[in-house]
Amino acid sequence: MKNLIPIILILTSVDLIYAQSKEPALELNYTYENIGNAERRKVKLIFRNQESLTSFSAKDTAIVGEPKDFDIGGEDDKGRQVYKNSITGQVIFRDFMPRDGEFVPCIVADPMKPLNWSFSSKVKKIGKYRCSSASTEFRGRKYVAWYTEDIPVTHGPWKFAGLPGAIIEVYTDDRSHLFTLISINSLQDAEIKPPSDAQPVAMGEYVTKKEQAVTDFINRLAAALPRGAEITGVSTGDNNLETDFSDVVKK
Amino acid sequence: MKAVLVLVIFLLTGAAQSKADALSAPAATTKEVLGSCTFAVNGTFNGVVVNVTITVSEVSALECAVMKAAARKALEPPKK
Repeated sequence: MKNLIPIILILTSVDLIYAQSKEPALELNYTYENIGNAERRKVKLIFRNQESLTSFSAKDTAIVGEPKDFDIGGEDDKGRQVYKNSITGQVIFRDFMPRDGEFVPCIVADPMKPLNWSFSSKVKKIGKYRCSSASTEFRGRKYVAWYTEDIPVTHGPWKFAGLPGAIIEVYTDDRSHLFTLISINSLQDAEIKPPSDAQPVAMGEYVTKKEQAVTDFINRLAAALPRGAEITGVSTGDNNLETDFSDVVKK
Repeated sequence: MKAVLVLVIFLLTGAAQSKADALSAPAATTKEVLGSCTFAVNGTFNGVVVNVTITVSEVSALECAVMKAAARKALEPPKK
């Protein structure tokens, strides 16, 4: 009988682990709009326990914005992803980095601190959900989020996390970036794991290369022109979600 | 009738002569006007807005067009 006790214990724990892994995940589907880039994408957030994976779809080419002479960027079929784990504190994302005139996928462990949300007393109903409001600042932008505690999902799309319920919508104060929840599904066999199919790159290198690439691009443009050509008025704005990486790279 | 014939011959020979003059005349030379060539290119690179104005002085209209084409070529997206 004594010999049986450890076996029973092992079997019970295996059963518990199995039951845990079988717990269904929630799939929250958002649309993401980036007004400056005339960009709209589908964004899928899969959440289970304290772990989530956000995946951005390809850009919706039906959206036409202001005419541009060029729109240079790059991505593959897998696109951008963000993995978050609130237990380990990990934020690991997949993005594209300019390298040798190409855009290559990379995996970056983001050392970001948890977002510091300020809660307001504002409430409103969005669809069937009673929503509360909270705001935060992150890497150069101010965000307003509307979340509902009716859906127990503590992660939002992209790098948002730390609210006591699912984000129904979140947008920048200038409304240049907007995530809106479209639908929720339950998934039985969802796999949530960090992206791993690209070259790992340190966050500092990622930021430096991203910034350097713009200078390289302008230099490439200048080199294509004859001697004596003058390039002026290089004004740059930034349509990316993150515009200030001073928490990562000191200047 | 004789007067009419003389007039026709005069007109025909006159026309032929003027055509010959036109063919033998040296080609007209046009002096190229050189000026400043300024054009702007606007767009985004990896989500960053880039607005540049390019100015080249003392160029012809043809050279200006070639430069615009060269700038566009430089702006071709990198291969994936």
